[in-house]
Amino acid sequence: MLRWRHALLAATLPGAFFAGRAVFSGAPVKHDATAPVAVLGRASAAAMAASSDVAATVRWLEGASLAECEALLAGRSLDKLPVMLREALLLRLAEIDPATLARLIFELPGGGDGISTSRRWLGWLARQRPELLQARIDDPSVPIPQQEVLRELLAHVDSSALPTVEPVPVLEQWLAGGKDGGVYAAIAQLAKSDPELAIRYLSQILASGKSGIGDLSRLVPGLVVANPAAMQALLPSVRTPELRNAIASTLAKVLVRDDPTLAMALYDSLPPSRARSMVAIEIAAGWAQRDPAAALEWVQAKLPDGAAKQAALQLVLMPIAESDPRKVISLLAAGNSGMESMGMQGYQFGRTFPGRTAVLEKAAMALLEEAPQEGMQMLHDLSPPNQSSMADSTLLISKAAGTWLAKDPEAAMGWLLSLPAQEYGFLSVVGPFQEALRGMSPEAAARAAKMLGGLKDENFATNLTNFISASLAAADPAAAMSIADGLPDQLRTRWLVSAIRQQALADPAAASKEVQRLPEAWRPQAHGDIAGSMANSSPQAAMAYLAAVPPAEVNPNLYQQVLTPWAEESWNEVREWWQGLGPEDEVARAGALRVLAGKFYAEDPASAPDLIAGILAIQNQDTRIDSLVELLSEMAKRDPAAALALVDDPRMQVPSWRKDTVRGGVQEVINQAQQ
Amino acid sequence: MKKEIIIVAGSLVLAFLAGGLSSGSRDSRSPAAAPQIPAKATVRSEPEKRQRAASAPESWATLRRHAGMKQQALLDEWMATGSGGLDCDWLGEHLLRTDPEAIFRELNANGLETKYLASTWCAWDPERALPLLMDGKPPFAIKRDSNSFTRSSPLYFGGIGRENPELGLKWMLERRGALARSQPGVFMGSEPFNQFLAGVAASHPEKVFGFFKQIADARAVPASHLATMLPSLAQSDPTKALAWAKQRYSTLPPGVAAGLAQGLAERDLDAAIQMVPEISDKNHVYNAASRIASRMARENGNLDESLAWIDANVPKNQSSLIKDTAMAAWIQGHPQDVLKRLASEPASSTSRFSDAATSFLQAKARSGKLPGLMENLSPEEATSLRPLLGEQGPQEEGESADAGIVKADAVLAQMKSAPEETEGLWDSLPEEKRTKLLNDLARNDNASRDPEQTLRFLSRSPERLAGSSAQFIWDRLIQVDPQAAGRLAASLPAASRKPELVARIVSTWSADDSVAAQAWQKEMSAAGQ
Repeated sequence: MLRWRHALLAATLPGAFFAGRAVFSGAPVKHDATAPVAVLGRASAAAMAASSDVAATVRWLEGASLAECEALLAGRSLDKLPVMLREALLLRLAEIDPATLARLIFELPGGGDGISTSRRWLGWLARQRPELLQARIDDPSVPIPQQEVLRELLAHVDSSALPTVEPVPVLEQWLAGGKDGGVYAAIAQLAKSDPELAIRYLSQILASGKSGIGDLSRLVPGLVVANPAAMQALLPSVRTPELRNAIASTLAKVLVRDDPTLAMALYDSLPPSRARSMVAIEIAAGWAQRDPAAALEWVQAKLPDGAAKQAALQLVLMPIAESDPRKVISLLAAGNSGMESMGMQGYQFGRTFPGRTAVLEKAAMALLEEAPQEGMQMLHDLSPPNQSSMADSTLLISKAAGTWLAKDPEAAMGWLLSLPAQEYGFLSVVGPFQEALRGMSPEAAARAAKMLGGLKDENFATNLTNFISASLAAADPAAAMSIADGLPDQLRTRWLVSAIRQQALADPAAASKEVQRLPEAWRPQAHGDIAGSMANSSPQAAMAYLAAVPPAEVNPNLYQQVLTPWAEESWNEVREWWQGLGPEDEVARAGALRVLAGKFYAEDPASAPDLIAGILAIQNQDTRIDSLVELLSEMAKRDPAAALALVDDPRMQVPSWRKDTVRGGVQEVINQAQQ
Repeated sequence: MKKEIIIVAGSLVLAFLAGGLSSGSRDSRSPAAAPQIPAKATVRSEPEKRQRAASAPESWATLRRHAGMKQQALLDEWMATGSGGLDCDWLGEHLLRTDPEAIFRELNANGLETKYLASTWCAWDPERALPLLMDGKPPFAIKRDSNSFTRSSPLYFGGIGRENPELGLKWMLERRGALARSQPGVFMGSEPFNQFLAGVAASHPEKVFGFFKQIADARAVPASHLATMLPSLAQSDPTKALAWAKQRYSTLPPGVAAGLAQGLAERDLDAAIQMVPEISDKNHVYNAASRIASRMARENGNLDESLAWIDANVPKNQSSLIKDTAMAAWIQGHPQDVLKRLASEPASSTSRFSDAATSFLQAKARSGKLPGLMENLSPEEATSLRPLLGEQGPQEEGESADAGIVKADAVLAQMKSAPEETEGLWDSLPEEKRTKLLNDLARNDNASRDPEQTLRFLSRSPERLAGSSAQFIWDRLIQVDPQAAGRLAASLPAASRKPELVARIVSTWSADDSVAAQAWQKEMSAAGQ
């Protein structure tokens, strides 16, 4: 009995030892019958598919057979597998059956664009098994975009930098003095498959003094993550700025997450340099998330003045912009070289960071909620530090003013009007100001409308009237229309034009009822807005509307916004409408010739005499000549002589100052046609 | 019995743990624990299948390591490896599929852009991504770029077109106003529909026409932009595309004819060729002609026919780029003929052709496939090619690519050991070789490793110091060691370039330490520099 127990123990101990070794090291689990691990047995694919232990399933896949791979997939499409299992499965298939790997990717919707790695695997197949891709390209049932992707991969397979051989021998040969173009690809491959070994080779490469390997900095992140201490040990021997900066900043990024003091020690260990600045910025970025106050203190105490410090400052201020806006605004106001994150300045530290304006904006918006007047005053007092951020501070102050105005019109207006006119007048033409007013509530808009009459700056008053009116008309058209009557005459017209235009977008019929409230000179534009809006759903209805407008309130130019899109969309309908025009539709005919004379001619050159007669009948000189130019644009292509003659036709009465331009245009079309 | 079982079990556990300890941890961060490099190159005796996958885009080491990590650690690693939304590999995909809020929150908290991440997410997991991104509630609100040139929308609709077009189009039509506003500029809202149809064309070409009709009938895009959808349509369903266009337009607008020809090119080459004369404005011809010419070249095997077609159908100002495309397609499709053509008429080959052919052959040489191509040449042809290949280098690819660098290395080594001899060498070089050496020095890793030494060599003559190579090396030195750059500049003899150099040092140094930079500048002016 006892002997049996000893025998059992003796037999199973090595098995357990090796199983433990395999589990802890992650080494491939071998599973032939004699391997010690076989003692534990091998789980079924179904069990692994049901398991939530991804690490165990990945290890299981490392030794899986084709049948087991397929059983794990259980008929699912690849994109339905968890990403890590999918990649493990693909790697296993690359080892044992690339044809199945190819088939599974081909079967994905659209040929695989729904998974991040399909192109990389297809690229690998293009090198290893090009015939699989070729067969797919030759299959006519495969959608063309998929064929194109594969064709492209095959075309570039030879110029790809990826290695087709094992990396270690390539590196050894190169270090021993041999030549091999694949050395960069080899170290890149090794960095992926065995980063520790790659770091060893990197240190040998640096020690060898050999050059020509290419820029290794792209490999740095993976290597630093794999072994920060080893990479930090390499840093003093790296003099190439790209590599040095990449190692230093990635180290800082990794260290600061584990322990900011380690990252600060790294900073202290470096001499003044770009690499040290990049370390500081990464510390600021990583630490600011967890302890912005400590990070701010460190940045202020440690960093020498300069763009790097400013960038670091913006990073640590961003998280407290809402909780402590006064401090943020005053600290940014004190800095005399604000750093915007776009462009070269941001690029020089290897990462993006919030620009000065973005941090200010966040703080300003928070302060506006709490103490608007104080917030506006702080923004107003910020002196633009340099030319490029002057524009940004204008945008910021205009957004703040618009937001305040939309919320509390009396207070905001009172503050604005306390400024000299040149300091607030320009706000009304700035995008963010207008944008903010668009979100105004109907109540606020009504309150703001009452104050419009008191505005002294005429442009400011006019612009504000347009925006507030449109904003109110979008939310409550009836209120917008009734408010108009309380306004002084000039603003009243502006208010109505804008309100009608806005209302026409949603309800052109209702808007048309308001047009008569406008002075006659303003009506054509309103009719045009209404017709243009109607044309979105029915161009015929828009034409009928214009036809019913009294002749004094319509002009040929209004037809353009209906006819141009309609002609693009449904030419046959336009032609039908054109042919149905009667003698009374004089304005409509002129409007159509002005934009379509060329198209009518191109369709039927024999119609030229009719078209010319129609143009001659147009009374307004500008409209007549616009129509002539439109006709000539096509006529010049088919009948250059007639076109040139028409320019000089005295009946057209082309004024002498326009003649040369018109003739030049015709000549240009003729030249192009001859090419 | 019970006690014995416990002993056995306990021993097993201990043995299991001992095995674990003896393996060492893969994640060990101690440099001492890193494996040693084998003393010399050895071919590992792994099974053949593992060797095959050695060059695969994935590795078990990476997978094992990631599979054992917690979600937060994976996110930290993704952030640390610089994948901040620009260069997503599968780790980014994993994070997006398992916890998209976390990854967006992290990017937002770091002040990093999310729009690239957003559009790749739309490509990978559109049914989940689009509703969240279109609603735009935090953390999925994407900040608008104030730069009008890069203000493209973060939303991408190709993925939903590929995965679930019915649902996708429903969403898009419901939000068409918002879509139009999200796409500034000339596209005015049609771009999302183009992306959508291209996605449908990649997975369900038979459904493209139906969706196109729905988009057109709903007037979801401006009519003038329907033409931009025609390539996808004509490629998927040429018959219906043509019928639709004929019914819609009495004469085809040029953009429409061009879109049809472009789409037809892959599906029905003859029909595409016949469509080209209908493109009444030849400024629209480029994309269509490019597709047609490259397909002609690829499939007919007759490059000259394709080039002649281009001359006859494409305005001169567009034809050279299209010819390049056609040549590249022909070269890829007929590698055997490339050498024959070069051999039979090297003198009459256009230089563009020989450039394209040479870079193709160089790539073949790199991947070891050139001898295979040469096999089919007759001895005469091989002989006639020799000067061309010899001169342009495919046979000596390694040599010619490395030659300049080797020389720069040698010069750098000499600078260290015998600077005076380097001067002698410089004096012996003809003008063009001097320029080349300066360029090589600027690109050389060793020159960057020891920029001071290189700059000392360069500063011995104004000619050397004036070139762009010297500026490049200066910039690197200022980054690595601004104080050394300052000292070196101060030690230079007065030369005309000096004020510029001082300004350059001050400007770069100021970014890292403006106080030190200005102090140095003061010292320089005090010294009368």
